[in-house]
Amino acid sequence: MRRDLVIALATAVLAIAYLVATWNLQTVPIGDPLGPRAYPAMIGVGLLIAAAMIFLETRRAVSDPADDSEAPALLPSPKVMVAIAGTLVFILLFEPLGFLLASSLYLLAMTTAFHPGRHRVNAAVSVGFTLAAYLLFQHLLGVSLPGGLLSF
Amino acid sequence: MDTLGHIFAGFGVALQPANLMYTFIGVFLGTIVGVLPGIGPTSAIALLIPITYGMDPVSALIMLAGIFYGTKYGGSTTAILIRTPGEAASVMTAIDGYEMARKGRAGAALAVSAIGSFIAGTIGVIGLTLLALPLASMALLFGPAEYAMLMILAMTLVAALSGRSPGKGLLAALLGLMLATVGIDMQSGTARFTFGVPEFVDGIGFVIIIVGVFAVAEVLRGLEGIVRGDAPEVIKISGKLWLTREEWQRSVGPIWRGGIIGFIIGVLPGAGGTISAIVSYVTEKKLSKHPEQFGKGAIEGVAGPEAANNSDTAGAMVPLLTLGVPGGGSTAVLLGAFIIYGVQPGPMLFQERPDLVWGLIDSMYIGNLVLLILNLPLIGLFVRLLYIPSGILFPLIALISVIGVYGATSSVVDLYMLLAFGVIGYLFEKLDIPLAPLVLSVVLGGLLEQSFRRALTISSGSLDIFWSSPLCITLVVLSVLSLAAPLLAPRMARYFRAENE
Repeated sequence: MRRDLVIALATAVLAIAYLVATWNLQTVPIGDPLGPRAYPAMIGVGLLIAAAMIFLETRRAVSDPADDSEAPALLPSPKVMVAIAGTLVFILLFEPLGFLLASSLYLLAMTTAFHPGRHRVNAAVSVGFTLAAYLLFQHLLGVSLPGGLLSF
Repeated sequence: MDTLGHIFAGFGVALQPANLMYTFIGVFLGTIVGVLPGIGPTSAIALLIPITYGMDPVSALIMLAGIFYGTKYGGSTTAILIRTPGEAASVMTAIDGYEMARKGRAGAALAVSAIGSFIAGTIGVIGLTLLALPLASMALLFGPAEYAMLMILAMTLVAALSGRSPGKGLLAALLGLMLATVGIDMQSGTARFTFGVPEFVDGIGFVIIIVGVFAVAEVLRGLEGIVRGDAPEVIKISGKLWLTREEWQRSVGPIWRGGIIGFIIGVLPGAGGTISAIVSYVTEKKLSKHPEQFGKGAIEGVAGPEAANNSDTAGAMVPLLTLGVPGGGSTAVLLGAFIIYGVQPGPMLFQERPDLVWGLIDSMYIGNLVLLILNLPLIGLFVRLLYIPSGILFPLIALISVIGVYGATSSVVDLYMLLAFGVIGYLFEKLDIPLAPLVLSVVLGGLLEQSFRRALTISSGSLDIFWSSPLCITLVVLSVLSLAAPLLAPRMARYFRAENE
């Protein structure tokens, strides 16, 4: 499969980039005889071996008639891409708006998009779950969540 | 105190009211996590670690282990009623369990899963109890060089066995090791691969990576499924939650065999619950007088694999507790929890903290009993979870992931990384790159480097130390073989693949 050739190539590029970054690490004369560079260098070499293995496997797959299945689409559908972008916005607003406001808005938007038409259920779940999670984590379990504009 | 005394004292620890409560919470959450298709044991354990920071390590580990073995019970429910494994190891149950449900024998399928899981789970814990001490005393022979090689063997086995392509498995394992090198080098104080980001100096927390590549990626896949419009239909439980005499007689053999197969495979690194279930299924089909019924609702095809994937979890605890080296993703996260609590599993733990080790092991006997009750008379409660619309469930799982990761460090940068790892996990699954090797090596990476460098400090820099003891040589040879064998013998690989499908 062509996709696997790309993976092999990307692995090789990553390996070389990682080896270069390893080479540029500062070494200090203290610590153990090996220093901080040898171990990452071995990982880099291992990645080159992995790239070679994946390449060899694609060569074999060509002669394997059982492997001609259509590859699934790599990227998610546009709607899921928007959901990813929405999650990014949610993270951006997480601290400025605070947990309660940001989370209930996020849940409301996501459920409206993926569980459409049931506005009352979605709104109740969004607000109810956010409140319950806040009480449980912030007040019972002592996990600190951002207060932002709205908190108690 | 002698061994027997420690084992009994362990029950004293496990039966303390607080620990009983944490056993219950653990297996209860485990059942829920098992039933819900969107979240698995590895990410559930990772998400709960931040919450357990202030807890007594014994209680915390009892609870987290409860999630681990509890998911296997819950996973079968989803497999039987909607033909989707609620948890990866229930794939085989989805075949005959679902067919039984369609024929009106859902009650029997659920009952044989719960009873088989209980019997096999208990067989597994007995095996763990018997094997723990002999193995732990053997582990005293391990020096840093042997440890480093044992970890490498665990990684190469997981890399070779968890996907279709050993090359991609190796890639995943090495990516995990790479991620583990980010941050301050413990021995020289050098900051490595931090690219000037202050959050990277302490390293990338494994909780972020695991929750990202499992839970968040699963949310994305779930949302994708909604867009494509595949909504699973839940079959109503029909028939009594019990077995006929004939069904029971057909199930006894598979349960015992599955229990033993699962435990043995569980002890070996790399394989894990899914392979246990597959091996048990194939075994039962071969032994059966009516193999043609398999795939059409044969109760043996439910009893065996369900038994196997439960005793597998007890088997998987053996290398974790005795050697301190996990053999798969979930036990890797458990090891991560041990380390966070400042407890190093391994042979010394049996001498220093027998209360912790035996309290944990003995809590598994109790946990299995609680799970039998939760999954038989109370099963209806958990089945309701399956009626939660996925359009609501997946956003909730996304929010829980955000809370768990933010709760650990209160850092928004970690949340960006969480989302990034979610997208990476989604893409990796599409590209057939397995995630278990990545998780294992993310957790083991730091320990591996420490052992490796300690070994070379002992040998003052000579690599000969990895070739100096028979144990070391064996481990090196096995590691190389595990990766090279599928490449050298493609025919053998194809044979295994055919067996697996």
